Amino acid sequence: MAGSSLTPTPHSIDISLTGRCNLKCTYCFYANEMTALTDLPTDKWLACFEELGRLNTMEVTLSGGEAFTRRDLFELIDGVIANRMRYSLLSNGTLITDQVLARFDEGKRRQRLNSIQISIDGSRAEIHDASRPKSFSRAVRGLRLLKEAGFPVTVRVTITKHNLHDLENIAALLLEDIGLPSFSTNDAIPMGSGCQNEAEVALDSHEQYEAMQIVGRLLERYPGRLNAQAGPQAKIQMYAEMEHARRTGEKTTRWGMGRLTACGCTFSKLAILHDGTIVPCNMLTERLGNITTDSVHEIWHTHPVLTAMRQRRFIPMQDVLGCADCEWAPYCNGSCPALPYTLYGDFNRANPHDCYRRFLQEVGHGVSA
Amino acid sequence: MTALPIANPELVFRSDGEEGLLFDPETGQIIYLNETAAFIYGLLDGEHSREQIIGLLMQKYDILDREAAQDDLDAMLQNMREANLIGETA
Repeated sequence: MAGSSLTPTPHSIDISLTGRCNLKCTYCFYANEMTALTDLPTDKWLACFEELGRLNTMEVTLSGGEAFTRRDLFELIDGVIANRMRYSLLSNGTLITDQVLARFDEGKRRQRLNSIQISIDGSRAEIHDASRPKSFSRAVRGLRLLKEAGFPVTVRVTITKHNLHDLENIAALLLEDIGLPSFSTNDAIPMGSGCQNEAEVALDSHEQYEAMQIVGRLLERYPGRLNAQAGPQAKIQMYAEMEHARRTGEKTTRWGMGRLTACGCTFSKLAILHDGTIVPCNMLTERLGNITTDSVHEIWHTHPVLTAMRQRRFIPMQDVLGCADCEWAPYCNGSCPALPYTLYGDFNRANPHDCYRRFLQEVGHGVSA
Repeated sequence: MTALPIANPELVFRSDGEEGLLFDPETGQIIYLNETAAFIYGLLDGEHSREQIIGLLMQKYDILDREAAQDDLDAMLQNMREANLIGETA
């Protein structure tokens, strides 16, 4: 049960509750879906949570759009709780007030909350607002309210061209001034509005390298207080492990090197968009069905797209289009399939944004831990 | 009527048919169950009696010694009862 094999039902579900948002961020991966789809009403979500409860799903992550724009948010949270699940929230923080926080005190809303993540992209308005317009003061106010009230609040910093040289100030704001125990980073990728604004926001390889160096210095200053599942910080580790494996022949056990093993989410997770569309991931929006008409359980076990995604791990990297002659193929895992799916309509390709060969060609030298 | 062992309805029980886990949504705590414990927990539906569970246990694992199976089951149920993982039907 604890391994990477297929779980009997989804362990957790990422749910975009709404396509509405009070911001218009320059790198929002969900921007296209927000305009194309319509929100499900309360009763449909509550019925969905009942199904997830029957499936013994353990947790949901609620996001949007901006989840706090839904007037029925707390009714929906109560639906999650009634079906024996815990939950997390992803938010821009701007709608969080004392009155909103007081509503968490009702019932088990606070007890069942795993975390609430706020996005902060700058140490001051000029930088934060460059990618998250006119929101810095409200976002930081929300963050401070959560912290002061003792909520399990976390912060995600998305590294862009705008804030690359502000990272050290951001770390000081979050870790020293506000006093968070840690925060996480990733970087803007060319999906959604991040595709239209790629030249303005997304880091090129040289900036990626610079971000790695800055994050490295921050990790020395704040040991263990920055973390990442993707982006420059995660790539420091990934590239260093690839270098080590190539040099020594010792492959990491953390992922299946040499095969298309990233990512493993389809073995334990699903996502649901705000119109009820069931997808493998809210960044990889291949339509699998809809919660208003289809069984999550049946989709989980029988949908050919999920089966195909779970079979990716058997595909040697040398057989992946564009990777046949890559000397790093035996040490690579293809990285997140959402971007190649978005760019090429094919999740059986390697993620060009994370390609180490490309990084080496463009930067001119490698990475060591 | 004899009280029957029953799973704690507040806990989420997940099993892949082999191992299993119990998830407490109040605390987020997860308790992993080995194959035998998961098999037994799956039978704690308030319908199966202790004797029926012993019979199914012996059948599944080709156990010949009924007394040993009883002792093992009773010990496991006692541990589960003490950990508030199970209760008994009214």
